[in-house]
Amino acid sequence: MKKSILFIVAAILMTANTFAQQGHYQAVMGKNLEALRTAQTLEDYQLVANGFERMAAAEQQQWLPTYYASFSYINMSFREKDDDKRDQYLDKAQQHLDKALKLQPKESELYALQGFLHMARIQVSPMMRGMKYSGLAKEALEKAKNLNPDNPRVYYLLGSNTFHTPSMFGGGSQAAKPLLEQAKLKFEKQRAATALAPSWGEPQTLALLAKCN
Amino acid sequence: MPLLLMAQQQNTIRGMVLDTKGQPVIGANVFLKNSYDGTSSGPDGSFSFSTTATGPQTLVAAYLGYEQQEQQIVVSATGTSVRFKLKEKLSQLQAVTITAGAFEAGDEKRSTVLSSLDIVTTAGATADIFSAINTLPGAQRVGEEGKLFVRGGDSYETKTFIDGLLVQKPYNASVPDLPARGRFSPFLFSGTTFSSGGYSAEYGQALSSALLLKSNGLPEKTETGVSLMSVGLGASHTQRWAKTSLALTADYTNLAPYTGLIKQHIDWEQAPETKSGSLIFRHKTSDTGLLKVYSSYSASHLALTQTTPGQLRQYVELGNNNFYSNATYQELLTAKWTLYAGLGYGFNTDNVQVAEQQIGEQDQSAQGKLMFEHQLVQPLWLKFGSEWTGRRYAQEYQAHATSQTIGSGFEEMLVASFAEADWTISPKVVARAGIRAEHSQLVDHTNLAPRLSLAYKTDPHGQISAAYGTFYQLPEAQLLRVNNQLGFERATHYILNYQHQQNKRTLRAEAYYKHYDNLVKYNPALPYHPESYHNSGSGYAQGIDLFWRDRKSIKFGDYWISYSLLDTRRNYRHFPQQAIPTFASRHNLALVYKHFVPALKTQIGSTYAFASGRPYHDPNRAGFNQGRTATYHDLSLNASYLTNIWGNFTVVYVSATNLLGNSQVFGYRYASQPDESGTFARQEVGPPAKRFLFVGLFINFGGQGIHH
Repeated sequence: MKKSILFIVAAILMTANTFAQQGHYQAVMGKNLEALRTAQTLEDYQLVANGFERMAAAEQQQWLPTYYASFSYINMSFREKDDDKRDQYLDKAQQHLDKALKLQPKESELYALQGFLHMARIQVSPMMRGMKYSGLAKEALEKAKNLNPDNPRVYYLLGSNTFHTPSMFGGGSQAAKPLLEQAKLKFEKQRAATALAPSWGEPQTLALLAKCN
Repeated sequence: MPLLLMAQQQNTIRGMVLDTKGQPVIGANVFLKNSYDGTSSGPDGSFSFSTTATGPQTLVAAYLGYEQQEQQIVVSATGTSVRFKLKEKLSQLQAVTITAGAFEAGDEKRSTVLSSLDIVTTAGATADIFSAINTLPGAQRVGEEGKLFVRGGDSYETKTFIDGLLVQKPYNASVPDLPARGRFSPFLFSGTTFSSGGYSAEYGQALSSALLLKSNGLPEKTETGVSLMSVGLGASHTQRWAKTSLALTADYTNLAPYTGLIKQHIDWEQAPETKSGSLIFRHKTSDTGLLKVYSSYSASHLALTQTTPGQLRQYVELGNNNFYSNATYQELLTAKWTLYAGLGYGFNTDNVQVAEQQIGEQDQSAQGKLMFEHQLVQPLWLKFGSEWTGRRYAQEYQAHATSQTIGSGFEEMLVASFAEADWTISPKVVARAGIRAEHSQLVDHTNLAPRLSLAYKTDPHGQISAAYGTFYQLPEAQLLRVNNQLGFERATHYILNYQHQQNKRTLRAEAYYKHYDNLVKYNPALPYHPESYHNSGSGYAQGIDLFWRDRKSIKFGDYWISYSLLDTRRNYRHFPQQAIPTFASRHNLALVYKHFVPALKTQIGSTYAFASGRPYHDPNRAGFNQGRTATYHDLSLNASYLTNIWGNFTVVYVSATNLLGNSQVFGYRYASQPDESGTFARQEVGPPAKRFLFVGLFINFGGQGIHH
């Protein structure tokens, strides 16, 4: 009897521990996501990136921490003035994204993020890199669309890519508008799989849409 | 397994993160391995966080650009204090690189000064790589040749390599005073290294410089292109599969309509006509392996009537057939070993008729190369390999229709081995030492050429570099076919360079001294006697090259200025004494400006070139090469208008050389006999027409657009 009680107590403790560990993961993720949401400056994003990197180092099976680490570095590249440093941040972001892709090779959000990364590369040297990375971004975003046609970020990023392409090559605000409108609708209907899954992009979509009018 | 029912004790870990100079590292990530617990270092480098972990733990400090560090600590209730001293990581961008003698233009390394697009869009270039390279420091303006003359060296002293393999005939076929052009479209290449001296032990047989062209990898998409030009038309189709691509191009050029419309200084009987085609194949053999094959064939023909000094007119006709192919394979064998293998083959026939004389030339060459790159330890890279080059040259000469045909020629096999080590002694200092050994079967000589370079980073944006090397080259075919026992010609280079790159502005200053030995000399009265040929010539070339590029100061504008000062003398070939060669001018200046006008969707480019007078030999005066031509000026303009035709990306391109209509005299040609008054008559050597105008339309079907 005593043995079985001990056994049950141990089992409860184990499950409780797993739940607690999971609860710990949820709590820290939540905290880091809040910091991400409110981040403004380069330094803010560095702290957020560090937080997600710590989680990613500890959680070798989870793709979300490394996804957000990558996302943070991409955001840092937009706020950095030194071109060499920008590319360094994007190289780091790509490292994290590659790790995430190994864990989840069929996740739409990862291909959407890859498209975002390629688009970020362009800003370092638009004349030279525009053609190459615009094409690579489109490829990645199409893949993301195939994996999840309801992913609003895919439409936002496709719209943003089109918006920044000169109109003579089939781009411009008028060409981008329908994509951004689709993105807007998808954001409204967005139902994230979990509270921690990627949900960013709505304010940016609406801001860009306003520029199309 | 922590027992959750027990109260969790918070232990503090605090400390500092500094770099090797004692300066704080801000925003570094400090954390316990395998836990979420951690924080970022503050503005003074300090950090502090609490954790429920106890006992022996590993504390990690990481920051982008620095080597990650771990320390074994013991977490206790009394708190733990840790100090980190992070070492800067040798990133490719900040790393010191050997710049002496090498001018890189490419897209792969961010620190390069020029991009492949720069080569393509340089005004006056009309898509000829060599005339774009001519605007870089070290290159001399020799308008009637159109070839590259580098730092007081003759055009044969510069060799062109595609993907590491020699291209025997990089220029199209031409006759004297008609400038040659490069055979290869600049669009084929993603990287260009113009080495004006002191180049790597991997290459040889070029006394002055090596032009290294790296061809593109796999194209991104399947697309078709059509070009319509004032001088011809062309079409290309690129097909892309998952890991393979195949591109086919066909071009037809005929200058007849153009020369009919615009007055030429040349009397064309048949304006140049060329038919050419090429095949480009790429295949990814693995994630890290790439097989590249390039093949091209061209057939061209031209005929003109030349007026010689003394008012004699002679008929000149040239027919040329050229085939060139190379295949290269590159693969990463392990993380530290790279394999490179290449095979090249070229076949060229020239049939020339000058008045009554008929000259037929056949030049075949083949090359094989095998090279390994190995990272011995982190800062030490080794490169070593071997190559063989076979060549068969034959010439047939007939003075008149009825005279006997005189044949001459030779067969050559050159075997070479090389080894080079790159040692990054510190993040600020890198040294390169190389050695190259060559053996020529024809002349039965072996040479051993050492190469040394050093670079020191003076500050985050600038560095000093120095290079020394010995360079050997077999004499030219027209000399070897008379005497095939001549020895290697030799040049020794000493180069000092300073380069500063910051904020999209680049300054480059280079000083050099070249000493020539064993140059071939012959008695001009006995050009067909082998005994008259000796390796007894010598010479020197010294000077300073300056380069300034600014992509920032002017919005949408980009310009570069390159200036070369050259002092050279040599005694070679038919020279009776040491003299300044006719291709050398003391001052050379090129100013290249490009401006993108967004409202017009047009990129405008302009090149101004200046060269001081060149020497020429006047037989009417005592001395040798005593004459000096007037200074040379050329202002050329080009514009690329980006648009679309039925949704397909289109470029309309127009260019014009010598806008100001300057009279350009490259030299003088004198009659071989004096006239009745005892004076040798002379004739100006100038460009084929006052100006060259070009209009082209390029349409791309199925390609991608360009971002702002």
